[in-house]
Amino acid sequence: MTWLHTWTGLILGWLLFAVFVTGTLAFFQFEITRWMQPELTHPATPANAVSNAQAFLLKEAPDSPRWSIGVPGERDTVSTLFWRASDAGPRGFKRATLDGTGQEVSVRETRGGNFLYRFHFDLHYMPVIWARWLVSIAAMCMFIALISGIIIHKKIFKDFFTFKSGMGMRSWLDAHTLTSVLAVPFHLMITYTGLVTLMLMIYGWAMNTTFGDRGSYFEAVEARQAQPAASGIRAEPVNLQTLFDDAQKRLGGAEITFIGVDNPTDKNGSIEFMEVPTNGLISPYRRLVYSTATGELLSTRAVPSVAEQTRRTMINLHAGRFADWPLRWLYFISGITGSVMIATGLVLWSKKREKKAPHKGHQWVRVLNAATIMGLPFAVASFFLANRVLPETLTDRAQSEIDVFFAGWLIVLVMSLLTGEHRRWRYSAMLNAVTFMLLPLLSMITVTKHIGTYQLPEDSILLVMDICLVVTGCLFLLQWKILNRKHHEAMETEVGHYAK
Amino acid sequence: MQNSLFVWRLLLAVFGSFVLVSLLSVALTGLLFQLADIDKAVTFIWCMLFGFIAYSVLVIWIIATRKLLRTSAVVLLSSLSCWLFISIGSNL
Repeated sequence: MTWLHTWTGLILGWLLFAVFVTGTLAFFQFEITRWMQPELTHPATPANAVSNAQAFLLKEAPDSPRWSIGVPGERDTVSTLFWRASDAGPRGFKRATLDGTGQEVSVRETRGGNFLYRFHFDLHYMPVIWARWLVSIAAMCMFIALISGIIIHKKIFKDFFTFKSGMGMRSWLDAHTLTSVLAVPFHLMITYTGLVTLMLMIYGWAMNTTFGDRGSYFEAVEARQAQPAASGIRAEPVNLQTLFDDAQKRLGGAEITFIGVDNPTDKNGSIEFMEVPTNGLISPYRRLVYSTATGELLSTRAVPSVAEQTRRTMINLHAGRFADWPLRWLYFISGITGSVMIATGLVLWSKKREKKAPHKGHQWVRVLNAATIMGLPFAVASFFLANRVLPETLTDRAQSEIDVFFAGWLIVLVMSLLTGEHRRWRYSAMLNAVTFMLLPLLSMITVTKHIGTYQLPEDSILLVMDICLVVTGCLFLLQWKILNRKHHEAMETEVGHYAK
Repeated sequence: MQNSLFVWRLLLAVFGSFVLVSLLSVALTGLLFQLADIDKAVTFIWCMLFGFIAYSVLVIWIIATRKLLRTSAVVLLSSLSCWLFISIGSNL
């Protein structure tokens, strides 16, 4: 059993670490985006977002068969619009982001926190389907490693009180046990619910065998009523903002963050408002459909079965959509604990084998451990750094920021390859410390909204973000100091040994 | 011999368990629909939700078993029964 735990943990440990870190940051994806677009002076609000979106889309895409509107909420401060267009390239749709005045946000093109969110299951530079299978396999390994880990640690609560620092490998084992036991319910929950988010892909064969195809499955699950096809008769849509207000009233004030409009300028056009579970963990997930031509309410439906409700509740539990600020921070801290659990497990693996039987492969594991554990935070810091220094007019700027993210990761990998075991951890700790602490200072030079000009309380999110960056830098500085002290102690012991 | 048995154990654990869980979810959905007219979508979602736990238990069982031959027979025969049930059901 110990064997199963060790190997399932190691094989995809590096990928899992990346998924855990970026997934944890994604709990604050909207706040990160807000920090990465400091010029946004007119945050969008639900009060006029739909009418602004309607005016924009009627001008830009009146003949599109489908509009999608991402409505701003308590945390998201822009409206995100998508519309189908024949000239939109391989993905088939175009995209625009609007601020509170209904103008397209064109400043500082960035993917923001959404990149970190997508990366934690779609990865990058590879087909999405491959990435999702890889992440599913890694998550399954983690789930098995967790269950077998619980079986190994039968004396789980006794182990909890055994942490001793400064004891070499024993301390790594204790740190691994402590971070695992402390948040084991969270780790089990987040891994299992993560698998649930991808389960329709994982059970793709079983689904197709049972229902024929994916579309039939969704029809069976959601009891969806077919919308009438486009009539070809043109009809101007009514004011969609009034329909939005009416839908919100009918949903008892529940948040609506997504609106789908089919055939918006046709007589048979319809608009669908979807309830999101931000008010609580369990939600009926109601959907209201109105006619765009007459404004008449066509249908109301809630999720039809307990099974589907359970599936969606699991997804809500994973994404923490329902979480208020204290709970969101608890999610964040638990996610960090999970990342530390994986990191200590990875280090433990190589420490254990360092003394027993030296092997060339172990050297690679050590390099990759440092490159992943220290490289990913530096990649994130580089991503933020790129956001502040890349010219605003740069073509494909958002993608360039992402390229810098991976370049940062590559720098630490190269540094790990070129330096020895002790140096690579110390150097990368210092690199991370300096870069994270530099970010708020860099903002003072490159953007107009920074620590010196924040207006409270409206800019409090930006201030907290800057504080978090400095705190992260301080933690890396602390790591550097500890590693430095240990290195000097080891050197002194060695010198003393030779002197004798 | 020892190595081949190890590879077999690993393959059976990783892929055999996945195949069995997938086949079982299709077969159970069909069976409950035919016997008790239970909504296919409902049974299938529950099968998917519990499938991850079933898969983990199967992997741990196959890795830890001391009677590999008997465990292999149970996994293969269960998969075969499910597959036959699905094939017969789809031909009816």
